[in-house]
Amino acid sequence: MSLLSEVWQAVKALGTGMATVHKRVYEDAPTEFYPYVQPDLPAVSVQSLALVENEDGSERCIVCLQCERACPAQVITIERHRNPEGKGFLIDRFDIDLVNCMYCAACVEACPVSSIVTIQDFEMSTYDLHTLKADIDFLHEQSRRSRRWYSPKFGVEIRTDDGKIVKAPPEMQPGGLAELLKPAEEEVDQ
Amino acid sequence: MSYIPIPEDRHFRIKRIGYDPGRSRPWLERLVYSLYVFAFWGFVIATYAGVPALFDALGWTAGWGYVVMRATQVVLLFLLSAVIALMLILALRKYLGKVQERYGPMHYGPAGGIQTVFDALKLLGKEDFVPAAADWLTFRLAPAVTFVSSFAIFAVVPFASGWTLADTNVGLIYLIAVSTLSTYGVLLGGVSSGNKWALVGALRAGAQMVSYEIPLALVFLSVAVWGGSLSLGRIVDSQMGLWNVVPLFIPFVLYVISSLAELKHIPFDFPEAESELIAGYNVEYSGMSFAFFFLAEFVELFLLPALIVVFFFGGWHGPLFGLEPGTLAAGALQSLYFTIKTAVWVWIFLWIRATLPRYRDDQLMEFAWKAMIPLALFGLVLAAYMRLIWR
Ligand code: SF4
Ligand code: SF4
Repeated sequence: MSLLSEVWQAVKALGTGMATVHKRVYEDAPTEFYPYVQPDLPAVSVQSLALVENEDGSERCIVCLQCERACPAQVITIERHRNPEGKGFLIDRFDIDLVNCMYCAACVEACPVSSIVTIQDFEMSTYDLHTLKADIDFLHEQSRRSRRWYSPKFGVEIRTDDGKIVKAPPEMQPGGLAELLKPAEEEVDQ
Repeated sequence: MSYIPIPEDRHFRIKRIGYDPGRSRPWLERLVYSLYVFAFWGFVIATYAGVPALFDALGWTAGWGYVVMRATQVVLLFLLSAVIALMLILALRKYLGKVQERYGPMHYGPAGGIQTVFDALKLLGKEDFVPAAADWLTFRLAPAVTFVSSFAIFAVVPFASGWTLADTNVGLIYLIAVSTLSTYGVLLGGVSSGNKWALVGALRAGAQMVSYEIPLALVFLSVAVWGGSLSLGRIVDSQMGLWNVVPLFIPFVLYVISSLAELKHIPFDFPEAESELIAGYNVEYSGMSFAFFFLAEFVELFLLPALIVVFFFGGWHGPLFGLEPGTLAAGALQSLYFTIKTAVWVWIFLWIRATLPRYRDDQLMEFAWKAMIPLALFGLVLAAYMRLIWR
């Protein structure tokens, strides 16, 4: 009898398995149709870097070299000279080697005027690595291309639907999420 | 400061022949894949009714005319087997995709409907390579042996009453003889490759297929004993009132299991066990040689379910709605029944393949010799006994 019951167990298991498999046929696949449908990325999504200009087209970057100093991979190269008529500096050269950049966004955190920002352009694959040695024109171009993504003072303010600029909620700010979560973590520690 | 332009190819451009997600609709998939069944049906009608009718009209029915007619039918069947392989590979990939919550092929044709045509073209364009360690002649011969032994089964499969190439009175013996041959193709292909994975795959294939030939042959014998004939046509005829699956239930179950082993399908896919042996016996094959192994496998995936239908599910039998048997319309309807029954069985085979994990090699042998063969013998004796009592 034990043999028969074993066979019955096996047949029952087989039936259960096949029924489970068959149910899958009617379920929708979670596949994303990426090149045809653009994915919905989160508001703060570190995919690439761009250098934002002011609304009137003038340079927003004040060439303070904070980003160059903050960069752990040392891929930012900035050269500057003193502004002859007035205070501050002017940019000679602003290069980011996007090949070796590790997209840690430390430069974004360091920037006092939110000039260097992260953008959601992840389609950076290329046949020629030299196209990823970004200079300032490339970075400006990227910021213009991704205007629909970034907010005027990225991560601090956002543009509402009716064109107004308001303060961004903390969860949309780079690092804001971590700050929001901080008290909770401390409570857990205690 | 040099300006670096954003290169043109940085962003995907949607190709004209490409996929648009709006076209992935379940109803479309169902429509396309059912249409394939009907396309197959049309092919069968053309082969078994169209060609003889054409030769009748031409008046070439005797002597060499008959030979040419049969040859035409064989060529059509060869094309049909290629079409079957393309359809079944596609169906397998699509079905496995569905089961694993993917979409399967979907970029070429409606619902991915002509993907395998492109695959076949790709295989055609590939270099057919013979490794230095391989034995040239055997290596070249093995795919042919495998394919021919699968293809030769077509000769005796009755698609409708009278729609068969050779309704011989030794059909079952022919089947046993021919289907055993495919073991040689696999063995030769694996051994002559000069590759350890291929060798192990071939050895496994030899052990497995020789073991499972025996219950298969015993099942054929039970069917012959119960049906009272070795001819496939008459076996189908004898199921007029009651399909064989009821009186011959044990042989039926054994047939399903051992034909899975013959097919080298999961759960018996040791010869090609991708996770351990890469692809087993055909690991060194490329281009059209590989395609012929593939073709043989998928032609068998059609033929073994077709033989299930012939032996156990009444073949072409079904309501004829007052059509005169023997006419073209009746033949077409009968072959439609046959096609649909076979399609259901192919689906069940794919379903089993999608569900089960792989056996272990020693368990497989143990199962064949300690369970299947005694049970097959018991089924044979039971069939003979019932035949004595009830017929
Ligand atoms: S994201 Fe990180 S690695 Fe890249 S440039 Fe900014 S600081 Fe450097
Ligand atoms: S930290 Fe900001 S403002 Fe300072 S140099 Fe970098 S991008 Fe310009």
